[in-house]
Amino acid sequence: MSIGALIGLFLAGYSLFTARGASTLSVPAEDVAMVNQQAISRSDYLILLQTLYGVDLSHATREQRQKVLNDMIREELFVQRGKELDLASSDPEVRSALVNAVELEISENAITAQPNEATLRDYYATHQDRYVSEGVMNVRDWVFPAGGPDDIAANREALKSAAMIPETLARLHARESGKTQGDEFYFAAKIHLGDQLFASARDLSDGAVSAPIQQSDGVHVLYMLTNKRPVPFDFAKARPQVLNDYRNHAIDQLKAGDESFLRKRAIVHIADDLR
Amino acid sequence: MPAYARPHPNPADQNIRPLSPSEISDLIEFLFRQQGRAADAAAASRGAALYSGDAGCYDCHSLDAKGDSAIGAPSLADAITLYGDGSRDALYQSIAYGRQGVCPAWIKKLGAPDIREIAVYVYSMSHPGEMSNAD
Repeated sequence: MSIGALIGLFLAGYSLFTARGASTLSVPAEDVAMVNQQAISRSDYLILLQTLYGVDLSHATREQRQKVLNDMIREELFVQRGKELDLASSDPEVRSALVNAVELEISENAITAQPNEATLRDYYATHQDRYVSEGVMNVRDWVFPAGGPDDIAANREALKSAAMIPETLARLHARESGKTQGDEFYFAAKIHLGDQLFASARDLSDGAVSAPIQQSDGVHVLYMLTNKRPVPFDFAKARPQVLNDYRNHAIDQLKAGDESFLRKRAIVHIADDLR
Repeated sequence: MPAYARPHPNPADQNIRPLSPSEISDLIEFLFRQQGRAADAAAASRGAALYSGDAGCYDCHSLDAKGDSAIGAPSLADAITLYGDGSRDALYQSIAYGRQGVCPAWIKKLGAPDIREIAVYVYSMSHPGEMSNAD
């Protein structure tokens, strides 16, 4: 047996029975260390040195350099150990971090792309219904006992007069529902009034009184004090939102494309009871 | 930042509730007062309660409205505005419909030297005169 073969056998045996294994002895110029053949990059090291101590390599003390290097080696060792333990299979936080990291990787181009103005204007024009203000209404909702809609209709005009409101309400045994209070955004008024009353209120102009609306608790009459309908934002006002929406749309498309690709190449078996 | 005139101001945080138009006006008066501008005192007091309470503004912009640079939340207590001219209308637009001013992560697009050069450039823009002798 030759000397070379003996050395080879010795190295193989050493690697087999020690935790360290065989590795290259040189560290590439762009790195600061190799940990089990995994490089720790010089640029990451310099950034960390700068972040922690606010100094570059030539101004860092020996202790600072060593501390940063030790921290990075420790991190790499623990990451490698995490892979050995296959933490991604069992730890929800690791799984979540991996999903987030992959999503960020997929979205990277869309996140950092700067669309030109023409592209944004096109997007704005195509989705103009999104770029409108929220309507605001100040409406009063009166409830009359069921059965007298004719009387109510006859008194609608009187209900417009502030002085006549209490008297008319008392005469017709009515009350304010209390569902609305002062100015309310449309979505809030819709929740408070319910769909039927809101649909009627939305069409009322300032100062208008609705026709009687029969509901289970009585007959409702709405008095619209002010109704500011939604108005479209011009492009300049909407631009920040347009840019954000455009980016999110691009990100969603990239994510959907990647997921589709991953699903196509994967072999997924689903349990019988969930098919 | 959340859009307080929408049913779900912040989809990522369901605890933040929408505000009414008058509550948004109260918040604006509070911010005016913080900036040392003339403001309706009663409305500003109500706005202060909203700021440090239900509206949750303090969470990002800090209790004194001076912002938190660590998370990129600007100061609301000075005359510098990132959006609009600082008028009540502009503040209404920001509070009602939100802002999306978040710097994207460039770590995978730019190298360390590029990022450092940009940092130096931004610093030079915000500290004119200090960089003339820097190498």
